[in-house]
Amino acid sequence: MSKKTWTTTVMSVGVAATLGMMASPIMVNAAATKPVTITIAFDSGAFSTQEVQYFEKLHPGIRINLVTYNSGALPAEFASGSAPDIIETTGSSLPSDVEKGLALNIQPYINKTKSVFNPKNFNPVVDQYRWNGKVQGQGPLYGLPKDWSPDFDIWVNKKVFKEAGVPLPSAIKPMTWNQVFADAKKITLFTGKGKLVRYGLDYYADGQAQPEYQLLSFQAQEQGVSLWSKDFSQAQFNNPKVMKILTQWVTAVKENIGPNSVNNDKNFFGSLFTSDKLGMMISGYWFSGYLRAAAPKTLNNYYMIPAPIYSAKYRMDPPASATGAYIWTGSKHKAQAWTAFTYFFGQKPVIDRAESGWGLPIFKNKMALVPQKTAWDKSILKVAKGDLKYADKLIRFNPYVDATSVNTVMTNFLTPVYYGKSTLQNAVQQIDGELNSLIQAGMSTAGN
Amino acid sequence: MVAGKTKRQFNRITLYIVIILLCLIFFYPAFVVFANSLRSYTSTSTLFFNGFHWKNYLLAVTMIPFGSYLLHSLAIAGISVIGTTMMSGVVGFGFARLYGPGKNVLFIIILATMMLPGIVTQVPQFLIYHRIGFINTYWPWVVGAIGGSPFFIFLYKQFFSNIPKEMEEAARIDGCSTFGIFLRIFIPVSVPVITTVAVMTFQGSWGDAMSPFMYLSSNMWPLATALISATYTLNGNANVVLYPVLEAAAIIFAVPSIITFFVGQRYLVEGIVTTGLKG
Amino acid sequence: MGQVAIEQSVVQKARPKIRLLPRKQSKRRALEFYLFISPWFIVFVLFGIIPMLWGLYLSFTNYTGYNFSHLRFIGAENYHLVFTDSQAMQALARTAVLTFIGVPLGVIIGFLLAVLLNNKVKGLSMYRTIFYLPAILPTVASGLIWQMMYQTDGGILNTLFGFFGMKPIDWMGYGMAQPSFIISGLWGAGGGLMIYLAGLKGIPQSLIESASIDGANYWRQFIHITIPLMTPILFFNLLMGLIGSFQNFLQPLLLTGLSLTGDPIQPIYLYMNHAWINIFVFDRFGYGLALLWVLFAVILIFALIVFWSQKYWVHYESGED
Repeated sequence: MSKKTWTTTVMSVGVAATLGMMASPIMVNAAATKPVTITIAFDSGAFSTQEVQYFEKLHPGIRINLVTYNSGALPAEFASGSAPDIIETTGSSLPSDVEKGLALNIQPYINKTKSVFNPKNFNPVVDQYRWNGKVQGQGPLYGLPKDWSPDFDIWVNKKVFKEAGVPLPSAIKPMTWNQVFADAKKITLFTGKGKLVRYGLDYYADGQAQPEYQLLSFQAQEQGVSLWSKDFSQAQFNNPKVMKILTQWVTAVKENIGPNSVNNDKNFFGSLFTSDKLGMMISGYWFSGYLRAAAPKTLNNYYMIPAPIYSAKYRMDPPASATGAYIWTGSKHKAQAWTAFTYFFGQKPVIDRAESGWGLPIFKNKMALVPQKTAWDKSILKVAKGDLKYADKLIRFNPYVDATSVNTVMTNFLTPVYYGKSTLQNAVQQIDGELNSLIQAGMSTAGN
Repeated sequence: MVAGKTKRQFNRITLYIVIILLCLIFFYPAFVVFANSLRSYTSTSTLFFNGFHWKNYLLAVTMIPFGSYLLHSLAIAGISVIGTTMMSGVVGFGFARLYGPGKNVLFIIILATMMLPGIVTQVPQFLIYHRIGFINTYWPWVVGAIGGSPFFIFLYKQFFSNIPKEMEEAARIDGCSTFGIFLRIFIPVSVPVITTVAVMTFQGSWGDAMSPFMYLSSNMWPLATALISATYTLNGNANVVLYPVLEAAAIIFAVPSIITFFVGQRYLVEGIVTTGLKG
Repeated sequence: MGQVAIEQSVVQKARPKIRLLPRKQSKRRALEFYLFISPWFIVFVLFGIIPMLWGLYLSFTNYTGYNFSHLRFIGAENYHLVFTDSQAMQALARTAVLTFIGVPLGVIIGFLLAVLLNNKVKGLSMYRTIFYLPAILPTVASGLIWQMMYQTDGGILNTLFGFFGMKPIDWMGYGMAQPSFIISGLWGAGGGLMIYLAGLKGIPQSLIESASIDGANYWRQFIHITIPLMTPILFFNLLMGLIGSFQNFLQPLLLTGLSLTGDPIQPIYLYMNHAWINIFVFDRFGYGLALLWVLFAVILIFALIVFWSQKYWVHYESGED
């Protein structure tokens, strides 16, 4: 040992000892209560700081670090072990989160926390977070949704329908998709100079009346087909029934029945709807929360109807995906993470969210908490509750490719079709090819 | 003569008309943001004021932890401005006034890195920063500031090269060290170039949304990143963005940049003139 | 950047001086030199060279962001894919075309603005601020601005043109997206204003005066004195603009929406958008890095061509500085 190292060692031991002696009475105490920090990555504003403070008061040993979900940084965070403990996801991405080895199997924790998470008390949406390696909806739970909506329900603006002279749809019986497109076309009106008077239809994802992964999966499944082969190793957008749905949407874009990437209308769909420039808005129960805030005086002008169907024989009304969260498998404090998870997904915040009217709770016994003061509230809730019977048929998402990727690929190759620069046949072939190569990469990441 | 004078006056008037027209064209898009920042969030976009909802400005600073974002913006800008302005000067001085083997090659490397697309290093750099624990710290900015910026090193070098040798030699005879010469002789006469570099670094770091997006988690974000991530949502629903409030926030956010430019512009031109960038 | 040549000559002239110094002193001087430049050099090696080489290595693997534990070396497969990926190649050609139209236009407009303002006008600092404003507005503001401007229905431009009875134009459609993209880029042309103004100020007054005495009118002065003397600066801005433009990805994204993971429509789907989507949306890190290295090579080639071209049009003062 060289002289220099020797001195350094002696000194550091000495310093440590002195510090230790001086600090020991306090240090011991501090060590016992040194709080563990649990980082939660979620869309900003989803959890309030009051809720965090309340939790920290209940659990002095745990601090909550609330950060905005940032998908771009996640891969590097996973690789370096610095990812958040609880991470936002959607039902459409959950299987791929599990296959990438990111989402923790929380079934054992759930089983130990039956007082909060009683399986009999779950609404069907919870099954969206089950994955057994082959089928979504079966097997252990890998996370929970924070709330949900029957997202494909349609909001109707009575005034717009009346102005267009189109009869109002029934509030109980679902419309057929053909009816929806036909009404939308009838409602849509532009002035001679090409200025918008009113649109017929819009969909909340990206605010465009265009096909999107979740919506397309829903429409395919309603007809008993899937976008994927049984083992999810192949994309099958070239399925004739899927092609037919896509054709319908391409026509819708060409007929300009709503904001789309051709007319490039960036106006917020909520504003379009409340300013009576939009007849039908595909967005779930949560939209009632927006309407209560944005147009409290004209609520009676709007009502919600069930998700459209293809045939009266088969009806489903699932959430588009249900936003929720999982616990990261690499979390260093899984027990504390579970405590936090229990709180945010099972306790007080759940009640607060239900009362806000921006979503339906995942627990059956909390359904009564959503707003039902007025006749309008009650009528909307009645439709939502009616849908519940059909909410157990869930959309099945691909475990090897995440929802953002699928949407990016779809937009990429479908946009030229909207502009008449490519044929649907051609686009579908490109979509399948690109998705298959992404599936291959996803499978190799999963180690299959 | 009289005809010539009228003609000159006519030219002058045309000149002003052209300039003012151009100003209107260049300014109008920015004005649109301002006009829209005052509309109600339930209305669609407008090309002239259609309401004066000043409350949007209040919401802009109260709906999100604006103060915290602002502090992070200030910290990042502070580190970058102070560090980059100083260190680029030190390195620029080395290249302008000192000699050592390999100087030519090293200077050509600096010029080459100016041309190197930053993105080639950014992605691996991001992965490495994660591995060495630079994430959620200001270290990426500290390191960046220490290294200086190739363009500013170049500016400083040009500027320092033009300072007469006699001043330096006199100080050396008086027994001044090289660093002393740098501090006492070169820095005091370099106000224009220092201001130029400081203002340009401020603009760059204040407006940079990408690096914080990559290196920091959201509770450490500066305003630039927070605003681009559309944080003004109703009830935390990402589908419901309050654009007028976001526009109000963008206006507030732009004010410091505009002020620093307005105040610093005189030095900016002077700084660039004296660096002899004219070639 | 004609500086390079000038610098080299200056340094070479200085060399004999060093040899005249006593040995010990020259060694000390060299040491001081290295000490002064060390901050840059150390950071450059640690956080420039090393990441670059590591990135180069990763571009030869199947790295997808989640598979560090079982990374596979796959040879030049990623590079092969770059050249067979029709989207990548089309995007590269598109980027090149938009660069060669947009960048020179931007340089010319920025220069002309500076020439206008160089006429001893009143209120100079206000005009300068307005022309420079687009360059200092936050990205989020520019994004919001152009989305509102280009919206087909109820958009600002179409409403304005509507007053003159024009039919709405589909600004961001297939036909117009590229011109719209270039226009929104030209809005930022004032970004080079300060450098041009500085250059114009640097033109010796004596030259202009002697030209006026010789009877040269404004246009002749402009063509024969101002432009030639400004060519080094124009060259510099052209080169920097070119390098920046090939790396552009934020502008198409902002025209499309505010999302950093967005997907611009095909006419403005640039090469960097393709790389960005592959890395941050598809998690194809290895492939994305290969895309970036190819871009690096392309930029280098074009930069060298521009460099080579300067002997035909860039005017350097001969003789001593």
